[in-house]
Amino acid sequence: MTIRRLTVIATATLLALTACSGSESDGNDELLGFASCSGSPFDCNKGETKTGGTLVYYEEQDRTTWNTVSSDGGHYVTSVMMRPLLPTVYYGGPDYKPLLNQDLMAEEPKLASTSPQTVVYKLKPEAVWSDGTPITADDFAYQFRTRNTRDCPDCASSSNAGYDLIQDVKGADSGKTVTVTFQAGKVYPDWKGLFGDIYPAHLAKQNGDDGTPAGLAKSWEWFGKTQPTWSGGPFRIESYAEAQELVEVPNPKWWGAKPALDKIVFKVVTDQSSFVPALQNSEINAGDPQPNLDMVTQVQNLPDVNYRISGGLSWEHIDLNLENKFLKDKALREAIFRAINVQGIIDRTVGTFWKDAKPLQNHNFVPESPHYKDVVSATGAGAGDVEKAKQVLTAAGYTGVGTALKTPAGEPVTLRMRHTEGNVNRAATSELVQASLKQLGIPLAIQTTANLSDTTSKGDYDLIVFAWVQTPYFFSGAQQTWGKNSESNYGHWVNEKADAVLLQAIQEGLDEAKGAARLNEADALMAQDYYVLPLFQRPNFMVAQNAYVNIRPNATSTGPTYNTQEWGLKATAN
Amino acid sequence: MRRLLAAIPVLIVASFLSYALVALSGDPLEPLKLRNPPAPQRTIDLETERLGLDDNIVVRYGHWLGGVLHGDFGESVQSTYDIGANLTRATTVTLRLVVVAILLALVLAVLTGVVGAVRQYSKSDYALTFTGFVFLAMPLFWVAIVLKDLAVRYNKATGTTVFFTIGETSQGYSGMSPGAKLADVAGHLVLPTLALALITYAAWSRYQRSAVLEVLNSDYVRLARAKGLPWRKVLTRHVLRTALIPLVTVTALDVAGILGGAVITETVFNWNGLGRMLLTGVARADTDAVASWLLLAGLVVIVCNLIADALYAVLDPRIRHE
Repeated sequence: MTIRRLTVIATATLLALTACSGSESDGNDELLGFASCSGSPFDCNKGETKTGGTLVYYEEQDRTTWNTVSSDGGHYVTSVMMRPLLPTVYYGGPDYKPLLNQDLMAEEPKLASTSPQTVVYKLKPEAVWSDGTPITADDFAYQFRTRNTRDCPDCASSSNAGYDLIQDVKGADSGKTVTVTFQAGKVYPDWKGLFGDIYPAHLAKQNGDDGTPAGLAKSWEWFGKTQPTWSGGPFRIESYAEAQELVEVPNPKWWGAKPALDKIVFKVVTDQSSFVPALQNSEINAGDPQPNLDMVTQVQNLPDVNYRISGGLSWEHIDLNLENKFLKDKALREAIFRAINVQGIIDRTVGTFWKDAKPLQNHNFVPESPHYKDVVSATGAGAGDVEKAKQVLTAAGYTGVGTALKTPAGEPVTLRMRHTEGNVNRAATSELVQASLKQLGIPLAIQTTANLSDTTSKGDYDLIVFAWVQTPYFFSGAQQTWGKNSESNYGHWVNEKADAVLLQAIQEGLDEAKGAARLNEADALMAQDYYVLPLFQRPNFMVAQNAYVNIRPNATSTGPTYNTQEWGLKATAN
Repeated sequence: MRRLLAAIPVLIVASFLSYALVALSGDPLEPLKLRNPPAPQRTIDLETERLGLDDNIVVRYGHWLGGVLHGDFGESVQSTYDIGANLTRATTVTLRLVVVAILLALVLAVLTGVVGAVRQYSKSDYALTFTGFVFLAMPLFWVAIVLKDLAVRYNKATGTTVFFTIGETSQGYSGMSPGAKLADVAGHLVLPTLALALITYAAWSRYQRSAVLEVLNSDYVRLARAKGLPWRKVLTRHVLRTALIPLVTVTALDVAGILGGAVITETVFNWNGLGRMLLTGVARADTDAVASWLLLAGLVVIVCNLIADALYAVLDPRIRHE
């Protein structure tokens, strides 16, 4: 065969393969599965399942530990993978609110007393670990002892929030009633966030927990390093290949509705560009990857796929450092925030693939929360109104407005903005802010940082763009981020009145609506101080082949795996 | 042996520099410090102590190097991650890719180089030159993406799953029959190997073509032909053997580059080899893991150069006699 003939054959093959492209459906039909998720977050993509089948779920990283609440834990992917094993009192629900685990709990936990705060949990009598040991108050007590940092100083816990305020955890009714009493005078309104990811106390005892701090630490480490053969959820681990896949199969001791799927495979795929080809090739069936323009565009053109982009709980913002000599002046801060065009920033960043992206107007709540209230618009911040910004500066005695800004004392104003190295969206944000400030006559230098925590904690910035992550348990987060003495209040904003309202919010937080109203009150005061400009929620992207039902988006840190027992192949699927 | 000993100080300096660069590039505890709700200070202190972050770079490097000499590759940022075990596992995965790709690239380079030289300025020479330059100009990730796309289209068109776009094996591999295992490995191996080989062969074929042309025009080949030796014998015994020497040099020198290419290939095809290990280490600012990786890469380059030296002796009797 001559080289010419070989070339002809190769070319013909290539052309034939190229011609065999997927059908170009408009994607609207494929939206049906998740289309109703904003109105009915628990009922969208609902359907009858048939028994059997495997679902391969895409993960961008591997799990970091087997102990999701250790220092290696607190990691979204790890929680998503381990969710089908771990008993949890409340999940973060698809409606962004706490969602009671009705398989574990016999009834909604009761706030039995507010002074001292006392919560009573009733566990289902049939709830057991996979070795048949009942799930009881002992497991709750183990969680408390390992995470309060008093009983076990060397149990490196991902967070001790709330556990450090508990006085004791007691069991009754063979351990199926758990009473948690908080310390006198302490209030923890986010109590629904406690006792997530419960670990088996009886296995802790077999692996080090002898009641001493050292024994507790030993068992805590054992849970982190030992692949679980146990489960307290609908699935158990069948096999694990590091950085490749985690395979889960139904837990035979699961007391709830029998899972429809035979197997869930969490496939680790670190390259984002692999997502779409692997989905097309059915090497993966679902996932919630970090979206980008290319990926979203390609997914939109895939047949037989449900997808949805929605607002996540992570939100981007621009912070000012109030220790900076120029930024101490509220008039300058106001002018800067008024000049920045948040919608323009959205259009250049997430708006390129998420048409519903809108400026965020609150520092504690996302629009999906019932407590969300616009406290920013009234201040003019983020409107991109350069003329109004110039008026504010002129009225405050600044000179050189629009050319080379000088303070009323005659000092030229120069500022420096920082963003994380390699973050394209934050780089674009900084450039747009630079352009806005140039119109006011303020030269803004842009500098990247490879160490965000160091930069923020040392206050090594004038302006900075980064993100905070919210949870459905918002009180302690607000206190931690905005409280005047908090280490996370990086820009050193102090407003005594707002601080008092924040504390009041915590005190009144056991009545959630009342506490949330107080938070919004404090938030309005912060917005009026032009300290932090919220930009937008980072998008959450959920994709699943439409052969699968009951899998649906969940933008909270719980992720979509809160209901794996319901996932399954559509009854009518081939 | 002398060359091997000379490589030791080079390795130590290179490993220290890379260790220091990674250590200074970021704070491995940043995700912990930025967590909401925040991690307890005690947790941060314990992690700082475990990773030795309070020590200066020289002390940290000393601890790591001492550990390496005893087979302990240090503490990963992720406490459950065993650097040594992962290095071994990832090396075997990458070797499978790199060795097959190099062999394939060598065969392609020698074939196209010889054909191009023997039929210089013919249509086939022009076609091979054009193809070579196309692959020379294309970035590896692009070739990989195109191959993936073609493979998915082929699977869809035929209703089969002959080619796989992610991973080294399929789920449930351990339970497969030997035949199915072989087909599964091949289905996963073909695309990444082809991508890496196509990019690699392109440059090598140009070297091979030049080398063959040079030998073809030498006096001893003219003499051999004048003496009436068959053309095929002249080509295989006298031309090709001599013309392989430059290719051996280039191959040895290119091993580091191919390892770099393997990082990209593994990433695009989601292989859990050295490429992913490096990228994950860098992303986590995992100093000990990255330094161990770089030490291994340095060793591989040195070993490949030694192998090239040995091959010179096989191909060129003059070196052997010296």
